Amino acid sequence: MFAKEFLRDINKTSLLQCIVFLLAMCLFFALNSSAFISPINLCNILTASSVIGLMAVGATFVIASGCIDLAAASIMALSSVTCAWAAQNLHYDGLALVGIAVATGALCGLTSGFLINFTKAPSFIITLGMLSISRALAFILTGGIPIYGLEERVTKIAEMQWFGLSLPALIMLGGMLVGYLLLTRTRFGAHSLLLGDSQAASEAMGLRVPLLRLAIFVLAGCFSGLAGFIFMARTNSGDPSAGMNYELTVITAVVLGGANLFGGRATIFGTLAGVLCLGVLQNGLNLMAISTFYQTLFIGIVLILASLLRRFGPNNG
Amino acid sequence: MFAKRALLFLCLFAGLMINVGAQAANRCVFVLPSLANPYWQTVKLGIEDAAKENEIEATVLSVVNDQAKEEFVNLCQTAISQNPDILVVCTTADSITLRCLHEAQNHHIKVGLLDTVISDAAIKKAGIKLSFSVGTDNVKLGEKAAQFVVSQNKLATPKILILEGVIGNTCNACRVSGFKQELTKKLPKAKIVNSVSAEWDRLKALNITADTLNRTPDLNFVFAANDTMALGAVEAIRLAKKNNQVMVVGVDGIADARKAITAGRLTASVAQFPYLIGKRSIELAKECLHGQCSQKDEKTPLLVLTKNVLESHRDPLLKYVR
Repeated sequence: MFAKEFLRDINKTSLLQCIVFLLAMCLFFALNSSAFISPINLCNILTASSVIGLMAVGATFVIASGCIDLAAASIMALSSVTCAWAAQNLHYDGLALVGIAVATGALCGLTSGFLINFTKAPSFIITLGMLSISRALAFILTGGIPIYGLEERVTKIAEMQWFGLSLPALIMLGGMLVGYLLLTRTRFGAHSLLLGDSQAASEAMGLRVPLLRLAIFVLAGCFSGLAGFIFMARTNSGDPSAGMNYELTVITAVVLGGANLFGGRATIFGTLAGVLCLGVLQNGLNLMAISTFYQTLFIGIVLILASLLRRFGPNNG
Repeated sequence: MFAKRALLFLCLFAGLMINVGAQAANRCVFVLPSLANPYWQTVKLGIEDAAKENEIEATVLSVVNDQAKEEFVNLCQTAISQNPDILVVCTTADSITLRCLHEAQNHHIKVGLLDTVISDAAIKKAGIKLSFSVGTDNVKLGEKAAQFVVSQNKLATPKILILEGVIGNTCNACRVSGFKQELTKKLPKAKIVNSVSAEWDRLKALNITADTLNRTPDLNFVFAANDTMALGAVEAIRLAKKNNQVMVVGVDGIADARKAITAGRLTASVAQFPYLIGKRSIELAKECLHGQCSQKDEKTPLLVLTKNVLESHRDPLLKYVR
């Protein structure tokens, strides 16, 4: 089932180029650092990519529908704050905290979606506003000081492991699976892609575009909220200044995976490959102890190389 | 009728302006980096408490985003337009600070520096006459962290990871260079396994530390150029179950770091007393307003906070730890 759709995605998008690029990077880092190929390090890459990865699932739907979500990272920070607050003051743990984080994200997503529908303004502007509002709310709730030192039962979440994979990595992969099923197995996914392809055609087909857009932003908010929960568990804190500029990393990962920034084309396989590309790159450069000046240079070169590769192959979009 | 109302409005407006002008006596305006950082919030607290004590009207302006340099320029112009008696500036870029001070001086406003590292030569070249300067010696701070590492080290060649802040930030550069210089001097065989920027970011610091632990499982020390990154490193070490092997030293002595030190998670933090910096800036400004500008470059003391220091409550400097 997966293999067939994977091959279809390879034909339809520039996913193949992204995977080739990912494998080339893996080979390069494996040759240059003996620690790179170890199972622990590969799990580390997945764990380190969990926050960006979860936000990227939501962003895939937003970008597929022809919109953009600049508020993802701020919503993640706000969710980490509300979650940490509930853990510290209400002594919640486990699923209750996940619920609070997801509800915070969903509420922010709902607000963004509603405002985009109501004002008919571009999503860029509304989510830019939401970026400021959610970041400001996080600062107001905490007075600018991170909530630190959560109870052990909360921080233990980040330590849990199954099949050698950490819980944050598993949640990220689970989120990818949910995203994949939603995008490929439901009418919601098909309609999201259609909306990104042509809003006029979607309306002509009788799709309730405002409702669909609202659902997409709520979904993206939920994933950002979940990312906030992972952030809180991993860093043992609710930090209002968490994830500054992460929204650009998220968009980069989705586009690197073959999504069309103007909508109509996106795959979860591609998003996963894009997220892993960035994760592998950062991990490999850290393992090689490359200085920060050169790290920045490498990241720039690699992103441009990845874009150049997209010119070759079955789909040169 | 309209002309009468307009005249009345103008008179009221003029009265208001005169009133504002009258309030402007002994006014001190501060231009600071983003208050989203607990360190700068404590500086502000020190300024406000001392301003109340010394009966000085202090206004604190701060940028939203430290990285947006032009925001500092705009804020500086806003501060100058308020025509204060003294303008005290701290920005993240030397060129902007110098420009701001120069412009204020042209408006006959006395100028001071707060927790900013600019060479005397650069200040002289820009034609600036500083009324005072108060802050931390960031090079010394890095040295102090290195001295602590040396005092705790029991190995011939300890392996050390350095987590740097945003590249281009002067404080970060001074802390890191101070640490490296002192380490080379005192422990020449120490091996710095990586010195990389985590951009003051907790999650980035966590991921870099996890990667470094993977590559160098026998890592011994982490020096982070601020406490937020140190706390990220602490979580990576906890997840790798290497709490007993790797010591983490941060900088700032913020509340979260003190909590982590007391809980035995963080080894130490070199505190730099932001409250005292804020307090002293007002006291020096007051001296200046009374015609006794010290023109001195005052450096506030540093204290290495460890579990022992925090629990014994003996050090008199602890009263300034907020």
